[in-house]
Amino acid sequence: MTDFLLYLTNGLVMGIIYALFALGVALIVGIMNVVNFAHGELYVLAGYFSALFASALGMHPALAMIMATLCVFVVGLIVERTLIRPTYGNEMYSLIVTFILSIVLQNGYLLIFGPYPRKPPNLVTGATNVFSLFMYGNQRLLGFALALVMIVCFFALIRYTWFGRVVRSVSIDRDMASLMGVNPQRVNLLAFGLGCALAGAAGVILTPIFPVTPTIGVGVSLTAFVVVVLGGMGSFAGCVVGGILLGVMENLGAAYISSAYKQLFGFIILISALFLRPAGLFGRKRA
Amino acid sequence: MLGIEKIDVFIGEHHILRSVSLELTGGEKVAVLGANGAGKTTLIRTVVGLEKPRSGRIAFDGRDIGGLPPYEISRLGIACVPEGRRPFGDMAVMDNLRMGAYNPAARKSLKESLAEVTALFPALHERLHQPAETLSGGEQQMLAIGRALMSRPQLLLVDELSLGLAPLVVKEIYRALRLVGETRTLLIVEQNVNQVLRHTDRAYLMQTGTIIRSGPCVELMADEDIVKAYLAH
Repeated sequence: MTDFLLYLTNGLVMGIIYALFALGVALIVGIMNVVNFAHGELYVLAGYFSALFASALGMHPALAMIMATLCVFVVGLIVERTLIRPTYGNEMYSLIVTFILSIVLQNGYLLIFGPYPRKPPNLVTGATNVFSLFMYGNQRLLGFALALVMIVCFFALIRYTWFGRVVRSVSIDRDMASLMGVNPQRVNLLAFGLGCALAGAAGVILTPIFPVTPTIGVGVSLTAFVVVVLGGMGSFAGCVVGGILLGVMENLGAAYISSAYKQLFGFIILISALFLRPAGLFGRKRA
Repeated sequence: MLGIEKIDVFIGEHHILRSVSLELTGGEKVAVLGANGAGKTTLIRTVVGLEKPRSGRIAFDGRDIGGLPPYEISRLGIACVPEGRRPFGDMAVMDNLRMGAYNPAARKSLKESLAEVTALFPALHERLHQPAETLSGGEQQMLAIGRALMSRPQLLLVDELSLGLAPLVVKEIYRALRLVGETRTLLIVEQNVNQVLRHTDRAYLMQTGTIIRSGPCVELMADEDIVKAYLAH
């Protein structure tokens, strides 16, 4: 029983972080209809930045995390402005462009940082006795709390602010939003930057636990796509539920069946969910 | 106030509007009539900037707006109620109305505008926190008009006002538009000719992308050919 709770906790921690970076993909898909294949590479970039800022520049790890996320936000803005904007109107072009970007970034990381795992120092050390059942690493608990706070902030941003209303209205009806006075290009720019920053935030949270290497971004992107499709394209609530579901199933499957098939469990859930609800858990049928 | 001078509009390869001219002075209420496919909706879409005229000129308050993007045109004081109403379905009625007041100038008087709109359409007041897609067709049309009014426009364009609505609802909406028209210029596109001619001063008749007749509503209603072609149902 204690084991089960431990696996469940592992699943929840991972799931909430899956949800965090999947929200970035969902935001960009919803607003711009662009599937960003380089999403995972931006997660990795944030990991490298945080390691670099903390070790080479001697920043406090917490400050390094914030700075790294901001840097990825800016990188996102630059990528949108230079690479994505010329592709509007043709979703195939943006797909190819972000796919190439992901390969270029992977090789760039290999060249600059080498193949070895990098991580910043932990923010906290030790472990806490959870519900007096099992010991659980403080860094993981902190990661869980940080991701949860970021998700709550994201939902508040979408629900209660002008930016959120703009995001929702543009993803429902782009032309109508522009008739209300919304400049679609500016929304695209900000949404892409914010989407990348969400990948970055997940990156800085997870890197102390799972150090980054040049290619782990591929798995991150795939997981994000699975979560977004599972939750229903463009649904933010679906991302959170899908992320947690995926995290929990992966960890329980790995614990009780075999850890060799960890990735497989995700796809089994995805396929079975899509059999039952082709539009995803929270998706709507497109007209 | 609005001057359209010989515009030609293409959608893809199709020549939709052919040398269309139209003139609106401030405070006027004008109808555009015509059958399906006459180009009425394209005319509205062109004025608000969703389509670009290939030639000709569109001036609003003396300023050329022919090449401006929709969000800049909306800031000049033109709002539109689109065909099919197109509310932001997932969003609450309140958020739909707020979006109408997105422009910086309109945002400053958001509270006032909201009070005006809910006074005009009390049905919306009761449903402010409901998703827009749960409203009836008539309520969605009220919402679409209310959302357009939230930007405090000088010129309001209404596309297919009565399409798919019950006669009683149409009457109620025209009553509200009469109040709206006291302070604003209105351009209403309609197929329901009987109602609109009673509520407007002048009308243009469109057929296959051109304007074939225009004149005061009284005069058009007296013309037997027009009555035969458009009014007799």
